[in-house]
Amino acid sequence: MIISTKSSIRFKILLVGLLPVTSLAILLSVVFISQRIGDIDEALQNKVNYFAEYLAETTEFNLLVGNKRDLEKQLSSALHDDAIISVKIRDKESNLVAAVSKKSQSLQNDLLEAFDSRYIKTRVYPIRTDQVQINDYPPASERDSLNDNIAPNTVGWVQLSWTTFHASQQKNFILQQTITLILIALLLTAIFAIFLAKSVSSPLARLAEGVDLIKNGKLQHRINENSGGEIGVLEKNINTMAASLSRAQEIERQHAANLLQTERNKALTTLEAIGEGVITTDENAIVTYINPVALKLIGQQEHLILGRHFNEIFLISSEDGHNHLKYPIESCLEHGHTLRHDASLILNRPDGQTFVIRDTATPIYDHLGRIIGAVVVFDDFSTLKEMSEQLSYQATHDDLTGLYNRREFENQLDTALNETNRQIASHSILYIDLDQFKVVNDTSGHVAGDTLLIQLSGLFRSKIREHDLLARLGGDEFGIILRDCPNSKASEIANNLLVSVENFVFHWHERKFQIGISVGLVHLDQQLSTVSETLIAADSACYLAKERGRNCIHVYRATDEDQLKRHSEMKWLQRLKQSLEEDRFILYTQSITSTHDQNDTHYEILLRLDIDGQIFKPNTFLTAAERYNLMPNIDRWVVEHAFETINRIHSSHNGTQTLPCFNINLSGQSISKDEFLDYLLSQFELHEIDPTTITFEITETAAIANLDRAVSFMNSLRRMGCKFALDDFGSGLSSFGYLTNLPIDFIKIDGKIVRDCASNPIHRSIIKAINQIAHIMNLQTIAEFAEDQILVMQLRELGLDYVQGYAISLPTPIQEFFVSNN
Amino acid sequence: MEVTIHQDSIVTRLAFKLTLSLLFFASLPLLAWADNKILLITSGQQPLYSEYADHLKNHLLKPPAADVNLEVASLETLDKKTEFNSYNLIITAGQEAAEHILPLNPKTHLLLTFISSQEYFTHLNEHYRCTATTCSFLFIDQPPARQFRLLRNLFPQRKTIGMFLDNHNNNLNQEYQRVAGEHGLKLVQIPIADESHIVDALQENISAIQVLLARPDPLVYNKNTAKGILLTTYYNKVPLLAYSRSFVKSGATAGLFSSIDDLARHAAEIANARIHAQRKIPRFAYPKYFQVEINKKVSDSMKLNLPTVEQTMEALRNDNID
Repeated sequence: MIISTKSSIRFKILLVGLLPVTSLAILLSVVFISQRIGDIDEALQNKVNYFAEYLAETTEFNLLVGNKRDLEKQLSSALHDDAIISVKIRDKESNLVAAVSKKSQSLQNDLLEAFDSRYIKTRVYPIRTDQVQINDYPPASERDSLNDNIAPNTVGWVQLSWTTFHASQQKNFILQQTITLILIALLLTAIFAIFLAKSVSSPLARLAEGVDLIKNGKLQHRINENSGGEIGVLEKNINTMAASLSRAQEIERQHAANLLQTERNKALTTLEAIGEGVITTDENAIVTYINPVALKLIGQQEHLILGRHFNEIFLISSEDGHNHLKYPIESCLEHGHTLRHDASLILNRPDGQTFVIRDTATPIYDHLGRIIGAVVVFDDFSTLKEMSEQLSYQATHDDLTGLYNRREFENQLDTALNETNRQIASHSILYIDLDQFKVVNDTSGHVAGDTLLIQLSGLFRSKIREHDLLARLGGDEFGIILRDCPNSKASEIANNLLVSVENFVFHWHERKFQIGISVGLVHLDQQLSTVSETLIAADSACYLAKERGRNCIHVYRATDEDQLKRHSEMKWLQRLKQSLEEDRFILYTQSITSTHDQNDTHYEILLRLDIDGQIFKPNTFLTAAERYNLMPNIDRWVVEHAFETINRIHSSHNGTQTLPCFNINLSGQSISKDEFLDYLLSQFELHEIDPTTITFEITETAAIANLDRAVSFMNSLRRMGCKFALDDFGSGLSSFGYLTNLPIDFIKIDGKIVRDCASNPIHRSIIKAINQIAHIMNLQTIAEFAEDQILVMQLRELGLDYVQGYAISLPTPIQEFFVSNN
Repeated sequence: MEVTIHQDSIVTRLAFKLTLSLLFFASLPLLAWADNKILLITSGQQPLYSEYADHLKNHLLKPPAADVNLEVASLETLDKKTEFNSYNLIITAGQEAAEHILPLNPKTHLLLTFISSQEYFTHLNEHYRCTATTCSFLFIDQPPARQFRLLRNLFPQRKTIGMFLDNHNNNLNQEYQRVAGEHGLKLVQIPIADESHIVDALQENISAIQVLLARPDPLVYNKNTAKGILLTTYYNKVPLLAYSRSFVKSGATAGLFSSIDDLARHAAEIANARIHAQRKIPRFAYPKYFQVEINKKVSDSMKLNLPTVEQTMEALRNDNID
């Protein structure tokens, strides 16, 4: 491309001015010349044709009559034209009849060239005579050939010779003239275009130069305003713009300076106001700034610090305070590392005072990314660290005794178990429970109890090794982890403790208390993998020690039956608590059918426990539940869910049928609690249960454990319409005497004596006696474990009112019962 | 109207056949009652002859002679078994038709039209024995006396009349010499050599004559020679009295001729005279009716002060040419 974006304006203007004009001039000149040359040729040809036609017409007669003289006279007229050189007339046999020509000798020398053969052209034109029709009635022969003969006859020829010399001269002249004119026009145009380009480009060049200077920061530069028109306006505006820029630059500079000062003041104020010490250095670690907090922590005057190397004034040592260290600020300055130490350094002042500090050293970069210094921020972490350590201590220690608390004991026990499992150590633990602590507390108050605990803690501490861990697990319970302690040594330490406590007398306001302890000893081995298992084992060992008469030691063994039972109960305790939380209990039901009336059927609601798909019957977990007082919770769960289900069943009957009666078992622990009765009443109200459809079953043992409370409980509910059945009657130390004291409606004879009554006459007699006495007392009897029809028949013969067992129906999930009754 | 018969196209031939057919069928009713049957035999089927047939019929059927039945046939359509004797009169048009019928020598009277007097005198009269009772001729050209009267009327000052005459036709030459003398005119004979030297011959004699009188002679006046003759007379300011309207239009100073209608009218009169009046008709006759035409442009160019056509016609009508 001729024109590129980098071409100068002058070049572009020249090109714009000259290119179209030149193109147009060349085009026009070509067209003009070709047209003029064509015109000359055409004119010459027309002239020749005219002469030829004229002569062909005018010489026809003289040719016909053979008048040579007149012919030559006619032909001579053509010679007056410059181009015509000669004319000849020939007859139709091409015989020369007449001829005239110019004599070359008579011409001037400069025209002699016209006779050059290059310029001579000759052409022959026919002389024709038209056929004319002269007969109105031509003969047939003439008529038939009329068409053919209508064409004119050629009677002779005109031979015309002419020269193109003059035409060529004219063409050359036109060519030269045109080219000369075009060149002159182009030259004038070029001169004008150059002048125009210069007039435009020169001011623009000045403008560009001026703008370039202004761009490079020379805002004081001004362009000469000597141009007119738009350029002049542009020059003026650029000068105005430069002046504005200069002013704006000055304002901006001033503004930036103010802003910088303000920011600097802000930064300084901030640095001096913040609670951390701040020291900045240059790239050589020379201190350039230090804020008041840093001055205070460094403990020197500012003028003694500024200008010194950072490591000369920032004196640190290791956390223990023994090893003097060099702060690695070079790492920050040389490698751009950000340093951070969280309370691992001690700052030493010249006066000997020390601070635990947290510090951060960060490199400072300039706008090119080069490190120009560092800023070290640090604060006094001494107080915080102290508080942190105190909190940590409180989290792991018992406030009263200063011993480790249960949480820390469990943590340490977990570590010990890990070590045991990895067989890198042999540990034992002691679970200690004070035997008479309740007496001290009840008789002398809690202060005495607390004092006793503190004194015993000191005693225990004195009797164990340095690396053993003593903790207060809660209340009057203590735990000791005997680290790296063989079993024999562990037993020895336990005995020492036992003896020490036996010999210890607690004095409180002139009163003396003899204190005993029960100790459970557990040697950690691989069978105990978790902290909870270990603690259960230790607790159960301690429990057994206490059961064995207190002030003794029980060593845990995995094969110990008592230990196993205790251990099982402990495990069930956890399962039951978890099951209650996770709602894993389910209700079953089994029918109790009258021996007299097939339609008189009650349903006993039974409890099952579903753990991971395995269904457990109550005899599996009730012992543990009773031992650990979980029965009230279980009874509440049973009542709530049973009532909810009964309500749905009753609602589904819609009052059209006789409502079925349900038997619900209650434990002795529940009926001995006042709040349980309130709970029952609220559940009756909540689920709108008709009390007359509910029969509560309680065991003889539960009833007589707290007879008065049981009778009161039963009477309260019986007044509402509820009935009561005395469960498992006849199996234990059943006494007919209780039957007169207890307000019951049914006696459920224990299945153990029912099951074999067919083969055991004694049991049959007992059943018969119970049945007869019950009937005398207007009580109805229910026989459990009726497992076959023969037994059912015998029980009917014996006169029992109701039978319950597999022969009647199998226990069914209450949800299925609910479906079948709908 | 320009003659277009030269264009011998299929359309023309078909038109002519159709016309003849129409005429034939149109004349059928007449046959049922008419006793006078005339057969017109034309030399060809050109419009010239159909026009001539139309005019002839018109004139024949003019009252009171409305009982003539004219049948028209050309040489191409003429049935070879035609019973010529069943016709009261047979009219031919053109030399070819005449030469066709004369050898047949029918008993019916023949009226041979469109025949030049020169043809009659030099050819037909000698070759065919034809008496005045069996045939008669109606010439197409004008009688010499009428021509000389016209010359005298148009160019009263010009006494020397040039004329191409064949040395072999002495009768005709003598006739013209005689009639010219009767009109006080001198007739200069321009000898006829061959066609290519006609103009030369005229050029040699042009200075000796004052008017050139043209009479139909294909050897002298044809389309090849006409231009040279016309130019020669024009450049030498010698008026040319032509024998046809076409000649006048081509550049002749004046013309004396008979139109188709003139000829048809004259032929009808002869036919009627023969059929109805049973009169004897002459052996030959020049056209009774004629036309005069003057080329005003040529005469003006030659600065001739000629009388008008009407004046000339008026003068000529008073002459008895028969």
